[in-house]
Amino acid sequence: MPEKKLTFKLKNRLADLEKISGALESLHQELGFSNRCKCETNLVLEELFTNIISYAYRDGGDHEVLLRIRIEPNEMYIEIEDDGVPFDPLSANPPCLEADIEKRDVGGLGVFFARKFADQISYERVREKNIVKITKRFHNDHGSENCPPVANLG
Amino acid sequence: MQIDLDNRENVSVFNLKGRLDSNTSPELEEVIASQIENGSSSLIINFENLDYISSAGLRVILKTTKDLKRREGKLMLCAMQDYVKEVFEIAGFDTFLPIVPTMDEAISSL
Repeated sequence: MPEKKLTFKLKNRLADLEKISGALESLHQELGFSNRCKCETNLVLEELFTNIISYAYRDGGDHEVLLRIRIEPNEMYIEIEDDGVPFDPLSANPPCLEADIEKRDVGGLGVFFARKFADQISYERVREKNIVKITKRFHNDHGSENCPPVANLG
Repeated sequence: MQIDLDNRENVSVFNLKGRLDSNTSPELEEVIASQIENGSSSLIINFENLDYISSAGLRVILKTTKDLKRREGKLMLCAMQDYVKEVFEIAGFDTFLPIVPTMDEAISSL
């Protein structure tokens, strides 16, 4: 079965969050994976992308962030690549989930969500680029993985 | 994201529609802050038509909760869709934020 591969060139600007959600919505319509899968994937990508915008660049200028999506029968394999300063978004401190409201903060929550909602996630620094690799398995709306492979990649 | 503000009796109801993310959360933060400045102390955020939320949205909710607590006000969150509720639960926010299934329950809790 032929693979489906897509590449999106994003700018390191919040406005390009819409390109991410637009891409996932199109894939959702075309391939039929669950709304929950779409939202969870969007969350992972948003959190990583906003961290890149905040921390990967020091010059305030426009930079290109590449989003590559490969569709396989039972999962999506996604890479986000930027050419900013060496920055591992997965190394952030986890949030304190037991703190009471006065001490609660949202620091670290984005990375926490990315780890929680991606089935696999890893970071590499390769030839001056930061690359985060994500695997997201398709599942039905009840969260189970017992759903048919997405149809018709041809 | 659309924010429909409904000020009824002593309660400010924020009906959200669409997505609460890094782009749209500043607007919600402003609208809520403005109502609190105007004296609102009982707030309901209605999530019935909100399809998506990210940590940016949770940040605004947390800030609102802290601001209201200082003023002895109260916030209720209601009618969350499954994905949105899951995000609050995974973050542990459901342990200190009042989340109820319906608007009626939200109103009667205030």
